[in-house]
Amino acid sequence: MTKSLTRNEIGLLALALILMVVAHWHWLPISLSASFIAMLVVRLFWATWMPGPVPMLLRAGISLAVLALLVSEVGMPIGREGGSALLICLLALKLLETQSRRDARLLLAASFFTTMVTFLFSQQIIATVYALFVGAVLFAAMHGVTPGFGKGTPGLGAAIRQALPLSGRLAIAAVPLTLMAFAFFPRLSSPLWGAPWDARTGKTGISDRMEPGAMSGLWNDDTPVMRAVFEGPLPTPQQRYWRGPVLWDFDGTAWLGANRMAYEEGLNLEYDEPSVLKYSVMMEPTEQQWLFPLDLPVRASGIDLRQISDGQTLARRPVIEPKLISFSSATRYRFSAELPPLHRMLALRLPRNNSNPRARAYGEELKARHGANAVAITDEILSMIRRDFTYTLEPPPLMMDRPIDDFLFQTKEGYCEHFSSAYVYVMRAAGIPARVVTGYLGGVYNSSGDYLLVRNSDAHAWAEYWAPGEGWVRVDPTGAVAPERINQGTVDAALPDAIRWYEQGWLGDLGMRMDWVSSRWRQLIIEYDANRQRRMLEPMGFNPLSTSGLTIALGVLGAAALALGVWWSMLNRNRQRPDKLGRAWKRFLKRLERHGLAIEGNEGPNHLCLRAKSKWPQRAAELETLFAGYIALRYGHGKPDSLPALVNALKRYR
Amino acid sequence: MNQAERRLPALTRYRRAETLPIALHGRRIYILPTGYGFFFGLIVLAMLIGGLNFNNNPALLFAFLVASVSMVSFHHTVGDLRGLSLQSLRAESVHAGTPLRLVCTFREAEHRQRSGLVLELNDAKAEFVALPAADTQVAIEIPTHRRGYFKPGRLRLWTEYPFGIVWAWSWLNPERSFLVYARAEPNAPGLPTGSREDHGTRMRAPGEEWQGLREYRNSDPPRHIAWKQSAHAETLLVKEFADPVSDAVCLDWFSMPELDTETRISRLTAWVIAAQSEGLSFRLILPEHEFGPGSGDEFCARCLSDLALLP
Repeated sequence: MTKSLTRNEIGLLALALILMVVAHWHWLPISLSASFIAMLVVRLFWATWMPGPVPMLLRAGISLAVLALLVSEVGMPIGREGGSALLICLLALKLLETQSRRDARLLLAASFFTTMVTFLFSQQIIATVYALFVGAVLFAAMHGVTPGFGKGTPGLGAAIRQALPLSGRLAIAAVPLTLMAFAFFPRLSSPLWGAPWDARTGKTGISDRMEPGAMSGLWNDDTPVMRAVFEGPLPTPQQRYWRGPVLWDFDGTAWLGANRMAYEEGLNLEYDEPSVLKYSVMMEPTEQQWLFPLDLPVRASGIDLRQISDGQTLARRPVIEPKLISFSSATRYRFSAELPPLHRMLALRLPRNNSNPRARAYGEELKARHGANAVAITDEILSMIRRDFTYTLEPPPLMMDRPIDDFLFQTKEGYCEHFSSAYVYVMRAAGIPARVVTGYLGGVYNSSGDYLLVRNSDAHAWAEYWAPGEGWVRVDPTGAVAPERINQGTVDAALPDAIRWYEQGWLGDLGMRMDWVSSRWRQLIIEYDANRQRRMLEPMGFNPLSTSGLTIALGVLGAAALALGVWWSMLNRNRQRPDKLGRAWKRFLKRLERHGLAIEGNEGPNHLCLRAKSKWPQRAAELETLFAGYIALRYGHGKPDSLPALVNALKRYR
Repeated sequence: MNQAERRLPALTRYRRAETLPIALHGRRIYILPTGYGFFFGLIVLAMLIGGLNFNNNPALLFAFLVASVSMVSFHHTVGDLRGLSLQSLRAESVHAGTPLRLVCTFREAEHRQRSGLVLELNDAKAEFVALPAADTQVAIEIPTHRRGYFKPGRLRLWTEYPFGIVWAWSWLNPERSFLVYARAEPNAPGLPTGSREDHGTRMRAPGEEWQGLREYRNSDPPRHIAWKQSAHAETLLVKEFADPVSDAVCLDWFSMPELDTETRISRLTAWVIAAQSEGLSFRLILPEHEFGPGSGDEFCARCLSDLALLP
């Protein structure tokens, strides 16, 4: 059919597309979302006020402008973000030229796919529920463009009211079948093709580059990084150092990871077994390779990973989907081997250009006083920090060419990055091998789910120095100035009076519950895979299911679920419930029957009234008014305002 | 599809004619994906494969929901037709060349509204909604070309409700036929006046003798009303003439030997219509019958149908 679309149909399409693009708001650049909506507005404007289609020239102009905007915002339209953004823009451009029912349908089918694309970016429960809602709206729009729809519906509102309940009902009816398919549809144990390569860029989080001042963006980031469930007791706050990238190289402004370390695997540790904590970590997709076990992991399983000789733990592939990893960490340990010459060289190296002369001179002075006594030097630095320095999340900016000098001798305000980098610099100047370690510190206990929740805002940086015979020793210079940072968390240490929403009052409880819900969602839905599918029925005593077993189960249970849904959705919902008067009347007749008046279904109220009066002549007048009132209201021209009185009188009759 | 139906008529009860009423039960409703349905299926397939490959469970959940909604909707597509029945077919007779307005009455008895129904006959189609527990009349206009009995033939009742991804249809082949009158000759010559006996005139001068007065009947031509006398009476009065047989207009098949059969029929048809509109009494002489003299709608309808049914 080539009938062109009515304004209502265009309105339905535009509404569905707007809801669809909202599903992408968390990653789509705001300018693209805005131009998407602007294009819909143009199309609606044309459908309402202008005859005929949007002119070709205008369309071409808009297309060029949008594509230029796209390239400037997300780069070339390839890969995950570029491709998805292109798809979304093309949908809006398609709507601009949509005239026929066929166009509208193609557009809607493509919208289903585009809605699904949102799961490449977020798999959270809210995103999923919203996408399912968008799916229902898209179905409603599809219903809206079928032939014969909306005969005699005057406006867009009426069209929505007509289309949405139907698709909502069908969506609810489809739930049983959906769940059966989800549970039993055989999953692939290995992917057919690889994940999109750029899936590992673009997330904020800890990286192997630390420029004092750069991490501060993380303080405001409450997104979870991981949740840890401990087999035994929880670690004490002083033990909750989650070890991430180790930074060796200082180029004058920033600390960087050491590339050559990446190939040295294995740690030589001595640890006492009773101090080992066993726990499993549910890692959120960080799109990085670093894992963050407690300092320091001795065993790990659940993922293909490797441990580097400086104590970093790396997944072989970037964590692009949630991973469950089991760790054992020793909280008391000793590096057993000698410090390799390469490590010593790296751990002592300072920028060649002597950019921070005062800090270097200070270190050399400490060396002169204490020799190689690392403990004494550390004590002196920490006591100076304790005495003169302030912990703040908003420190004054530092001079780019000598940040350490500026921090140590001028501003004296900063947070973990400043303290750890200054400490390591001075230690190196004093001839003691030292390095910066980054990761997370702390975590909030969630009692609903019995786990420790670590967020991006818990990011931290500390230091390690090498003591002969002891190995690497952890020092947290931030703890010297703000011991509460270790016990309470970053923001509380900086702003003791600040209230974090997730820790206080009912909102905090709610937040904790929400986090628990999303962790259950993670376990039940996101983590479901081929392995768990096969073992699904094991608790009921079944052997692991084979693919054919799954297929049979899907066929049988799916058919039953489909039948259930069809039966429910076809239930006759149009049968009228008796109205107020009808209900009161029914009860009144029941009461008459109980008093001994035989009531037959085929008898009209007039005749019934005669019989009732002859049975109870003493109440004839009362019965007469009731029957007359009912007849007038139901069959005649009784006044509607007499209804409540009559209903009451009917109820009162005994 | 149409090809397959023509080759294998038994497949979808394509041919058999039935008596009314025709109830649409499940066994005579057929369902297939539309072209758009195939495209939609491809999209769902792509969603499924993508979700499976990346083990992206929310995406799979979404894809399964879309697929499940589609599957539930198939039943609603069939359910949209099932339980309807075609109660009656009516049509006013028309002259060949003007479209026949066929009025079909569908009965909904299951208390469900049936939306998005399309009734189709050859190229004519009508979209309608059948209201719950009610009779719905659908009119469809069919072009007519030939005089005589007209069989509407197979009607197709179909729907794409609710989403347009599948369509369900059922053939209705009611055993009914409708009379189509012969085409009236355009610009036919005027009515023959006393063509046979060549006496008697159509027009009467005022003051001419009449047999008497009687009460007005609906079929009386206005020119016979006796206005003066009626003004004094309670009702309209009509002049009644002593109307000799020879006085009636005679529409004679044999009066135009130079014309072929069809032209004669259409000229006679045009004359009958003209006589009817002028309220004249006339006689119609056909090769094997003779009608009249007579006048009025009923008489004209008889004449017209005999003309339509001439071999």
